[in-house]
This record gives sequence, C-alpha cells and structure tokens, in this order.
Amino acid sequence: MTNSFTDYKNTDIFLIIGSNPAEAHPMAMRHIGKAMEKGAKMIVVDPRFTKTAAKADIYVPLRPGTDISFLYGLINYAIENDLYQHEYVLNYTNASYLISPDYNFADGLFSGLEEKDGKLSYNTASWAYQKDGDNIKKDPTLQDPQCVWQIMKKHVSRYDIKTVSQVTGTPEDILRKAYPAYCESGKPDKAGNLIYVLGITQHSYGTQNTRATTMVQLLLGNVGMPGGGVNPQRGQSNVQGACDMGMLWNNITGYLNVPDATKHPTYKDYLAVETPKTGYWSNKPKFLASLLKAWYGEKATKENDFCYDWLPKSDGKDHSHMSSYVSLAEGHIKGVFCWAENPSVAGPDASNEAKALENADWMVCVDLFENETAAFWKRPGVNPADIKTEVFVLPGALIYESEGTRTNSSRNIQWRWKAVEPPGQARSSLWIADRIFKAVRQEYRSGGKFTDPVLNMVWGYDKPGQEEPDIEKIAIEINGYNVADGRVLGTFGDLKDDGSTACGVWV
Amino acid sequence: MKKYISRRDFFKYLGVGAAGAALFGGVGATPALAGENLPSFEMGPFKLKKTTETASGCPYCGCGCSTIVYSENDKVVFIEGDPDSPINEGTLCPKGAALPDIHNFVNKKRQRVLNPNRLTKVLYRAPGGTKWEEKTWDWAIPEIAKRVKKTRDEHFEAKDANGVTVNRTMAICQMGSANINNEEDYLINKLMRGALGVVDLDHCARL
Repeated sequence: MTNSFTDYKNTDIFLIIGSNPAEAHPMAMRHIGKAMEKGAKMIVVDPRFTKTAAKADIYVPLRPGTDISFLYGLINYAIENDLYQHEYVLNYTNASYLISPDYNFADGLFSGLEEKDGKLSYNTASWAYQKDGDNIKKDPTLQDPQCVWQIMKKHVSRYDIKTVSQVTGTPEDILRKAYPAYCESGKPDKAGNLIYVLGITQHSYGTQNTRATTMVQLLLGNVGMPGGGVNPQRGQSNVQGACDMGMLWNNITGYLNVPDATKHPTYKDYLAVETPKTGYWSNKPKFLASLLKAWYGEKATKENDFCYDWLPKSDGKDHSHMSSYVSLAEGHIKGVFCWAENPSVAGPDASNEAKALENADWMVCVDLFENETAAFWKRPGVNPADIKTEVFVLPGALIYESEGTRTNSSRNIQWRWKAVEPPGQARSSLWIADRIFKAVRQEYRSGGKFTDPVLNMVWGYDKPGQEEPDIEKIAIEINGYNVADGRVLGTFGDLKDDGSTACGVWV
Repeated sequence: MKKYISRRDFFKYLGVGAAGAALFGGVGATPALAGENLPSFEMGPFKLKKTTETASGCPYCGCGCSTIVYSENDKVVFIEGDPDSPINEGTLCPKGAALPDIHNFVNKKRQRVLNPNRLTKVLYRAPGGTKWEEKTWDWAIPEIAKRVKKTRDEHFEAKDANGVTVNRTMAICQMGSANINNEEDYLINKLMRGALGVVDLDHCARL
C-alpha cells in the first residue's frame, strides 16, 4: 500500500475496484466512512452489487475479467478530455522516456514474439529505453512518437466509451458518470485513492490489471499526496510480513531476487546483474553479504564469497504456487510442507490440487484444525486405501497463543504477546520449525548429500529453562547485528558488504 | 456483603432520573427529591478485573487491528479492540469480535471449554490408511526429519546440466504462510531454503 489506513480520511474520491471492504476489510471501511463524512465520493466497480457498492455514489457493474478495458477507458477519457495532471506526468513519471524504435504493436501483438520450445513468449529486447551512455533519452515535449506518452496514448485510443461498454457490459451512461467523477482527482488539490484486492489480482493476467491501476493513478497525479495512492489491501494478517521474510519463490528475503543458475552462477555475477548503479538498491551487495553472514556465520567469509554457493539456485523457470502444484502432479515433488495454509480450499483449481497431493510420498501440515488439505485422502470420491501419501498433521498455535510480530497491509509492525497456552499438545510454529531443523541436523550428523549448510547453519535460539526458542534472538537476527560484538544495528544504513554485519532481512 | 439494587431502590432512582431529565429539559423544577439521600449500593466487582490483559492482534485480514485479550485460568474470557490502535481505535468487526471462540467458548451447560474442533494432538496417516492415528511429538519430529533427509538426498542436484553449482532439491515444496508471525516465517525460510535447498517455496500472497 502507498498509504496507511489512517490516511484514507484525507481522500477526496475513492475508486474501489475488485474489493469489498464493507465485508472483507471492515476497519478499512471505517476510514473510508470517515472520509465520506467529510464529503468524499466513492465509486465502486464490481460485477456483484456488494455491501460496499450499496454505499457508493456511483456503482459500476462490469463483466468479470474486463477490468483492463474499464481502466484503459478511464485513461483514454482523461487524455482525450485533458483531465490528467500535466506537471506530474511530465516530471514524475517515465512519460517522456524514449522507447527503442524497434518497438511496435500491431494486430494485437507486441514486437518480439517468439516461439521457444513450442511455447509463445515475448523477447522484451525491443521494449527497452533508448540510451545515451548510461542515461535514458527523453523528450520533455512529449511529441516524439517513440516516447512512452505517445505510445500509451496510441495504445489506449481504441478504448472509447462505446468500445469499453461493449467489452465490459457496463451501460454507457454509467461510464459517462464514473469517468469524469474520478478524473476530478486529476486536479492538483484533489486526492484519488484506488483500492483493489483479489478482484484485480486473482487473474492469470493479474499483473497487467495492477499495472493499469498504477497507470491511472500516475496519470491523475494521485501518488505521493495525503489520501492519494494505490492501495491493495492484504487479505491476511501477515501477507506483507511473509513477503518481507522471503516466503516467495523468487525472493530470498527482503526482495533480493533468488539466485538463478542461468543468470547468476557466481556471487560476482549476482552482484553484477542485480545491483543497479543508482537508487537504494545500489546497496544490494551489503544486503546479500549480511544475509549470508546471518545464515552461515563463521563459514561465510569474503574469500569464499560468503558461501553464496550454499544457497539453492533456481533453474530460471517459474516455481510459484501453481507451478509447484504442476510439478507435484507430474510427480517431481515428493515431499510437501503445508504450513498454516489450506491450498485445497484457497488455491486455484482446488480439485486438481487435492489430486496432485496423491503423488507426494509424504506431507506435513501445520494447522489449527484438520483442514481440507490435510484430509485430502478422505475427500469425496476417492478410496483412502489407494492413496499412498503419508500425512503428518501438527497442531499449531493461534495468534494470541504465541508471541511475535505481524506486519499489516500498510507495513505497521506490531508485537503481539502470548495470552494463553495453546490447547493440548499444540505448539507455536517457531517451536515446530526449531525442532524440525534440529532433528534434520541430527540426521545429517551421520552423513548425507551436501551437509555443509545443514551442519553449519547459525541456529542458536535456545533459552535455558524454556521450551520455546528465544524469539528475541531471532528478532535481533532479522534486524541485523554487528558480528564482532553482537551489537544490534540501528538501521539498515549500518550494513556492510565485508562480512562485519549480519542481517536476516534488510527491509 | 454485596448489595445489589433492589426493586424499591430502582423505582426511587428512576424517580430521580426522571426528575433530573425534567430539570435539564427546563420543563419545570421538581425540588421534592433534591435533598433526599440517593440510594446507596455497591456494584459487584467488575468481572474483567480478575483477568489478565494481554496486547495481541487479529488474524482475519490485512488491516492489522490490535486487540486486548482478557484471560483467566488460561482461558480467554473476552477480547476487545485496543483503544491505542490508530487502525481500529478500540473497535472490532464481527470477525474480530468472535476471536475468543477459536480457543474456548461457553457450552450449553455454561462451562468454558476449549474449542473441540482444534487439533490438540499430532495426527498421522500411514500410506493407504483409512483413519488418523494419534502420535506424540517425540515420535513425529524424528520421523519427519528422516523423510526430509531421504527425499533431499535422493533428489539433490549439486550441479545443473551446464555445470553450474546449484545445490538444490526440487523434490520438496513449502507452502505458506501469511498467518504466522514474521519470526516464524523467517525461521521456516532459513530452514527450507538456507539449509535444505528448497526452491519451490511460496505462500498465498501469490494467489
């Protein structure tokens, strides 16, 4: 999110698309309500007439999956009627940047389409900026036909109200009301707040949907002012935190890209490819060195590239949730950990995901309840005797049964204390992860494949007289410390790339 | 001894209230009761006074509302929004207000009992098994570790086809989670990626 929930009260106009805060984020709705009491307007775009829509000034119904048409229509309307914020677009966006002359868009296809291994994909080389040495070429008059502004203008010009109405199914008169109403936020003193959630993201082209929302907001100059921005509201208490901690296939921790065998076979390659020359990411070598130091401790030295090779390298292919399930269905994945997540309900194509689990040799589920994923072997229509997967279900602890921090949607980090003991033998995930690691390490003491990272991993979280690992030690490791004296670092600005600091997550 | 308000006192008090209302309404003063002693009664002790207050949060959406958990004898008796939170300012939505029930609730006999749907034991299903078997942690953790080692060792790749050191296993995947603490996520990431070489690791932010 670009704004905090408490900033919603400064908004002048809301565009809520693919989100139903009245039911799904009631506390966000409270802040929207505060703004509306002060006179803010709300436009709700949703195929369903939701409880949020019931409170809207303008409700825009549309066919599911036609968000891009609606948003491009909005962009086109703003450009044609000169309702966008000129100064913002010129100075704070890439509108004036020049794109390679090889770029084109014809017949519904972008340049660079190639067939590779029987699959069609884009080679994005022709989409790059024109460069003058290290600098990107610009045209501040926005007249060059290859500048981003002209290309975008041409691209969205097809989305006139009539066409949009045909695609989205929205009556033209509603579009004629909604578009100018939201373009009001293009005035320099008006803040427009675009809120979306899974209605925008949960599509196979979710990335393009989110891009369109961002383009709208940049065009109207709504980013970087109180009450204005793009606000994807997270659906669970620690989605943001889990992303920061690197629970994503493409990030190690703190949004450092995962090492990829095709792009960065060595530490030097990684730094060369991944470190930009300018911006805060130019400090990336410090982040990576400190992370490796936090994980591999004394073994990670400057001479051995901080044990960069101990990190697993991806094969350059997609390993996201859905690809992992495809891999499971094809029989490549043999062991599954399902930690406080229920893919058989929450994942796409639920019945095939449950079926894919039959191919695993073993599965470990950690949850509060016996969920559908853990019980996949007794789902309707299957004979449990035919399913060979071993299933371990471990009882976990609830938010007020364990101590620790969670990060909300607008990145407020809160420490939560433990109020009561988990019931029966249930344990916190911290305890479970700690015990599994120790047991695995014990197994590897007697040898095995590539034992180095398992045996040398920094793992000293025991607290005398206490069952639970010492969470404060883990918090310090995430924050970062000075290797020589263990002093806790003040900010990520203190991180070094010479191995003198260790830091689990630089963010 | 506790003294509760009696029916008689109640009516007397009501009279004062009505008179007061009339007074403030400016309809006309009725000074008859003004000098009379108000009924004296003590409130029973505030029920939450005996409980322990713990600052916690709500797991149900990304808003991140803060809660205060009131517990007694290791049971949750009440949860309310934390008034210090700028997000929920002391309030909770219906989902958050129902939070105590995941741990315990009051049954028909008016006893506070643990939620019977919660998992309280380690469960195991053998290959081809038709029901859960109850197990202990001491059994389960080493068994899991053995399977992790076996799968990792059987499917470990030290180098890929181009001779690049990759040190990975693509036979274990980790799903989740957005509903555990940061420290827990970090530790799981460290275990899976840092120690075991897991590549397929994702959580529901992707979905």
